[in-house]
Parts: sequence; structure tokens; C-alpha cells
Amino acid sequence: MKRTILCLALALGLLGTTLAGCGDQTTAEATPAPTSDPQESAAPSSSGGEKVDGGTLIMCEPTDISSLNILYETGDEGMTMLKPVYDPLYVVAKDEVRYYLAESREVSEDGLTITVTLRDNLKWHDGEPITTDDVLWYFEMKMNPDNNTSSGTTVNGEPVTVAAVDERTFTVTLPSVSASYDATLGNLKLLPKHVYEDTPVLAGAEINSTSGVGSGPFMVKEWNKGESLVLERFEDYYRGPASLEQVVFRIIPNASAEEIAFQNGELSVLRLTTQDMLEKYSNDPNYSVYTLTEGRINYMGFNSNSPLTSDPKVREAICLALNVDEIIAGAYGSTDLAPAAKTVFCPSNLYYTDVDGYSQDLERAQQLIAEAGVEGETFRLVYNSSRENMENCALMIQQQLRAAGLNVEIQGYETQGFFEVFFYTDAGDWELGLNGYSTNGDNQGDEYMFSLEGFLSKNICSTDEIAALWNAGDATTDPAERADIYRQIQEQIRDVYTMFPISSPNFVVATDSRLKGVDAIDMIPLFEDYLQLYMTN
Amino acid sequence: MSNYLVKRFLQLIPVLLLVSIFSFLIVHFAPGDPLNMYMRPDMTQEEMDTLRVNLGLDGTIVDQYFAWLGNVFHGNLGNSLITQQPVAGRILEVLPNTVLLMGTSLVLSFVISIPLGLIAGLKKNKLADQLISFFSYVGISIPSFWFGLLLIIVFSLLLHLLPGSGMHEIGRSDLPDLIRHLIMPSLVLSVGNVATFTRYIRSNTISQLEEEYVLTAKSKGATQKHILFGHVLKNCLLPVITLAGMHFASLVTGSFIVESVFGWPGMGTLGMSAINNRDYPMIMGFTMLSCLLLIIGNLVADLLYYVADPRIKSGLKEVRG
Repeated sequence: MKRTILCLALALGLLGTTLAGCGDQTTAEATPAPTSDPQESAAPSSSGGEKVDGGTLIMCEPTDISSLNILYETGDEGMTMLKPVYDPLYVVAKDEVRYYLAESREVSEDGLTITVTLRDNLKWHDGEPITTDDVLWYFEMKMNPDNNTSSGTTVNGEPVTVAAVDERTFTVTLPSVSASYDATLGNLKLLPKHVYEDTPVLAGAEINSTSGVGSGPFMVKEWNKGESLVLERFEDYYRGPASLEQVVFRIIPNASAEEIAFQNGELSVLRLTTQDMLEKYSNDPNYSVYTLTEGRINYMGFNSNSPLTSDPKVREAICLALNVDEIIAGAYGSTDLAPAAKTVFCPSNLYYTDVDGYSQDLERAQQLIAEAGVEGETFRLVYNSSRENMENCALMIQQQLRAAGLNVEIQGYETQGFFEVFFYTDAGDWELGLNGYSTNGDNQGDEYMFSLEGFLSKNICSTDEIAALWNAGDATTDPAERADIYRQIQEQIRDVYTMFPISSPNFVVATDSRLKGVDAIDMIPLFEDYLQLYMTN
Repeated sequence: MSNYLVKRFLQLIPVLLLVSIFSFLIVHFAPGDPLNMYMRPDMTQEEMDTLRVNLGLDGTIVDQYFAWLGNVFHGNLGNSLITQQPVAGRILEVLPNTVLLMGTSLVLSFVISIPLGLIAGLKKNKLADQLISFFSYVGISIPSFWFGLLLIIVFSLLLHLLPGSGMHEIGRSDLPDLIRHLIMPSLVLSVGNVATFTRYIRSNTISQLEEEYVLTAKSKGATQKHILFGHVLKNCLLPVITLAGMHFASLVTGSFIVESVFGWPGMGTLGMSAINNRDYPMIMGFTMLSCLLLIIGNLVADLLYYVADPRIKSGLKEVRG
């Protein structure tokens, strides 16, 4: 009897510990603070304190970078972690051009020459001046095929020509007109010639992991591989030193551990991916919640190599059978996290027209299904199981298509496997696929996704006419003409049922409420301009 | 003995070869292409072909395997397809972190489980045994990621006693800081081991206590302490040696889950990243090292058996003689 009581007591104790651990930890004591040691955390003010100089911004990535050279860091983690270290020349945004290393740039009337003037008194993190010498070497290095990094040096397969006018001014001459090249050029992040010039081939060179000399507001202080990247304020930064003293990126692969670290004050920023998280942090005065435009479209693509979805009538039926609002409500919880998308572009693109999207018409969908003779057929829907909310979307689509008389078998793949299936094999053994892409800035950046001549066109349902429109969009520099071409692309992609747009998700973050300037530039990846960020007391 | 060792080492060769062939096939047949990491929208087919050649991915799978094997015979595990840095160098960079974590956990497991197992065996069906058995079952059943998160919530978030992730606080690299970071992950890793080891030692203790030599010792007036630590413990260690051998490989392979939960920069994290990126040379390096260590662990276990149990020694002599 005693033993039974003892065992029961132990079991209850264990259950109690479990429940304590699973409870809501967002209390006034669970204080986030931008310090590295949780024990040194102090309670943040609710909001509206005075700006203070210094402070540490601590962010988190699930995987580490593999080098300190941004040239070879093309993944999300590289774009985010090395952003404070390397400044672009300029950023072409929807309504403005934001200049960083460049003071100005001018595109010639014929669109073939771009003249860029660098700012005066630019310095690398080691104190050496940034000049057009660095620019010339940079292009030369990128054009070396052994370096595996030729992006931004060619237009339609032909190399651009770069020439220095003086120490601060250089020209880039294009072999043919490419309106989007302006944005591409602006986004290049220069590297210091004096650091790398003695390394004949940069690809795989050890110096990529040791140098990290950049031009941004923060410089590399310490890189503990697999654990953290510590950046410190560059005092000689050409736009004046940042307010924050340090930016730290910690590597925490597990999402639950990341949220606990945020609640414990070990992180300053947490991305909110569910409605529950959004409500939880929105209602807590210790945190501020910001909604940023991600510039992304999540969509369902149709496979042109499948006998079922190669029929436009079937694609139309599927588009009419789906209700995007219900999919979003079921998959994301609300439109706070993911507003519905209607078209191939999103409002943060340079050219966006509010064209009509698809509206659910179940009756018409069923009629088309009957006409196409695919009633009761099984469609295979593939998705990237590593992406948040994709599985829920797949389940919602499965349910809605069942109502229209189609069976859907869903299959998740981890990222690499998904890309292989969705983009690189043309076996036609799937019909529907859930994917997403970033589409900020120049619309031409999406050509590779939706043109027959695009980079990932093996399975795309498109037409020669659409491909021609993409080419035309890049071949003119006239904004009105480009706007009209991209409107036509939106309409034609809709009319041939290339894809079913689902959402244009927001990038929602909770931050320590003392951190300000988070939404100063509403762009992803976080943060374009670290000078805008500061702490309050 | 030396003949035995030579024979065992010779047996390593075909085993490693077979493992390398199967591993190579499995990683290459998994959907995904390491080239995807390099794909850019403005890339031409020619550039992609050049890149494939540069990365050594242009030949047939058989060509690629023999190229890899040839490098291995020259002591070169190849270069990572992602960083293009030597695989061996990267493994050696993170290996100490994993050895530290897994070694601490293994030592902790033995230090805790041996006395617990002996006590449970000695006090069979008594209260102490019941308690130890209860916790053993809990330890075996508890998922490590769940227990890890629970510890982080309790000791880091609620009590602010221990750091929740990483190996060091930013800007610190001293030993006390390292130990504070080591406590929770090593504890999580130990819980399952302690539970398993304790069960083994308990059952072995019970069976050993029923052996005639224990009765003889008792009849000769030996104390219980002397019987337990002088005779029974040595015999109980045989299954522990087997377990230690089996866990030897984990010293270098680490734990994918626990390293992920605690953000520990070890082999588990490296292995996971290699798999996600289809970094074939890194996966092969990781797999071969694990396999080698597993085989060596078993060999060391056999040798320790030889030392711990004189019957095996005499058995070998009889076979030879």
C-alpha cells in the first residue's frame, strides 16, 4: 500500500513539474533584455523611454553561416547575419532609392550605361579607403569562373564592362538594355581588394572564414562557429556610428528553445509564426509587436508535365474550387500573419497592379471537372514540410478539392527534397505543389519562376507570349511601359492558370519593447539599415 | 592476443568498405542536389555545368564513389560542397565540443548508474529498488527534446540558474561558464543512459548474487561490502563494458536532438546541416567516422572483457592450446 502511495506521489510530482514547464511563461518576471546573460536581465520599460547610446541587439538564426564572405552566403542566414557588415551601393525600392556606399547613380538615356559615384571618405573596417579600385577588382574577381560567383556581372549572358572615371566614380556599360540591372548593381556588396587580391581563387579559400572586413555599420568581433557571431559598432562608419554597441546572432536550431530564449531575455527579437504567438505577445506590455512586409508570395503551382494538370480546364477548375480566405483562416489563423494574395506580384514590387484574382465558384468548378473527365481522379500535392504553415495549407486544399470531386494525396518533403521534386525533375508525377518566393523590388526578379525561359521552368505552365513579355519588361527603361508590361504578365499568368496565389505573408516580430526603429524600413531581410535601431531606457 | 587484434583490424576493412558503399548510395539517391545551394536566377546551363565539374559532381555515381575512395586512401576526406573547406578540418573543429558533451554525459551516466544498479539489485523488490526502477522507467520513456525543453524552462526561464543554450556566454570563454552551459545538455543525455545502464546492472547484480561463489564467500564470512565490491561488481561490469563500447561512437557523433535543443555547436549540428544541404563529402566523413568509432568501440569492449573476465582469457588460451 505504502509503495502504491509513493508511486502515485511520484507520478503526481512529475505531472506537476510537467505542467509547470508547459505553462505560459510570459509574465512580468520573464523579462527580455538585450544582454547576453539572462541573470543580468533587467525589466524593460513598457514603452516610450528615452533613447540611450549603446545596448546589444541579440537575434537568432537556426543555422550558422559557413563563411564571413557575403559573396558566398546566399542563404537566409547569410543575408541576415552579414547584412550589418556589408553595405550595398544603393537600394532601389518602390518609391525611392536609398543610397548607402553610393552617393548617386545615373542611368543614361539609352539605358546602357550606369554611372555611380561613391561617397567621400568611405572606409573598410580595417581603416583602408573604399575606392573604385575595389569596384574594378570586385567585378574582375566575380567574372573569374573559378570563383563560382558571376551574378551581377552579365546581362543576357554577356558580360558588362566596368570602368573607373576617378577614385570615386565608375561606369558600368551593359551589352544590352536591362532595366532590372540598376537594382542588381545597387545591391552588390563590395569586398576589399587589399584583403583578397593575393588569393587567386576565392571559392573555398580559407580567407573567407577569417577576414570579414566589410563596409557596414558593424564589424566582426568574434565568430564562434555554430554558436554565435558577435558584431561591434564600427566607429568610423561613413554615416556616423550606430547607436547600438553590439549586434549578436546566436545559433539556436530548435524553434521552441528559441522562444524560451526570447522570453528569458537572451534574444531581443522573435519571429511570430502562429496566431497564438501573435496574440500572446501583442497582449504583453513587455514586448512590442511589429508587422513588416515580407515581400513574398506563397502559392500553389501546377505541373505542366502531369497529364492531369497540363489541361488548362483542370487548372481553371481547381482555381475556382478553392477559397483562399478559408485556406488562410485554416492554415494561418487570420490575415494578420498572411493577407491573401491575388496575383504573381505583391504591392512591394516596383510595379504592381491591383488586378482581379480568382473567386471561388464551386458549381463552375464541378462543371469543368466533369467536362475534363477528371472527376474522382487523385491529384498529388507536394509541399515543403520545413516551411511554416505549408502542411496546414495542403490540408485545407485537400479538403476543398474533395468538395469539388477531386481526391488529393499530400506529400511533404524537406527543403532540398522538395526543390528537387518541384523544380528540377520533370517526371510529371505530381500535379500540385506549394511553394513561395521573395518578390521585393524589381519585378523582373520573378522571371526565373514564371517564364518558360526562366531558370526553374521545367514544370511551369506558361506560354511563349508570357516569356516574351518578361523579356520586354527588362528591355525598356520607360517606367510607364514597364508598368503596363508587368500588368499584362499578372493578367496572363492568371488567365493561363499558371499558379494559384495564396498569401503574401507578413513578417511579424515581437521585440523587447525598449528596442526602437524596427519598422523604420519595412523590408525583409531584417534590418536593411542598422543605424535606425536604438535602445530606450 | 596480437593475432586476435590483427584479425579484428583486418575485419575492419570490408566492413568499412561496405558501409561506405551503402552510405554513398543512400545519400546520393536521396532527393536533392548540393548544386541547388549555388543556383542563381541568372545562371546559364554552361555555368551550372562548370560548377558541377568544379564540385566533382559531374561523373556517374560509380566514378564519384571511386574518386572519393581514392581521396580517402590518401588520407583526404574531401572538401565540403558548401564551404569548400576540408571535411576533416571542419570535423576536427567541432569534435572537441561533442567529445566534451558526450564524454561528460557518459561519465555521468556510469557514475550514477553503477551505484544505483548495485543498490537496486541488492535491495531487490524493496523500497529503494522500487524508487530506482520507477525513475529508470521514467528515464527510458522520457523524450530527450521534451526533457531538454523542460529543464530550460525550469532552470533557465523560471529560476535563472543556468543558461539555456550555447557553450559560452558572449565574450566569455572561462571554465566555470563552460560548466554552467554543460550541465543541462549532459544531464539530458545522461538520463536515458542512466536508466538503461541501471536496469542492466540491476538485473546482473541480482543474477550474480544468486551465484554459488557469492554463497561461498558468505560462508567464509566475507562482508556484504566485500562481496559486492570485490566480486559482484567486477562481474556486473561486463554488460556495462558492452554498453560503453556501443556508446563509444556517440562520443563523436553527438546527438542531433539534444545539440539542436541546446544550440550546442557539435557534430550533431554539423551532421544535420550536412544532411539538409546534401553536403555529400561531409555526410560521408561523418558516417565513416561514426562507423569506425563504433567498430573500435566494440573492439575495445572485447578487449576490456578480456581484462575483466579471466575466463575469457583462459578460454582463448584453451582455443589456442
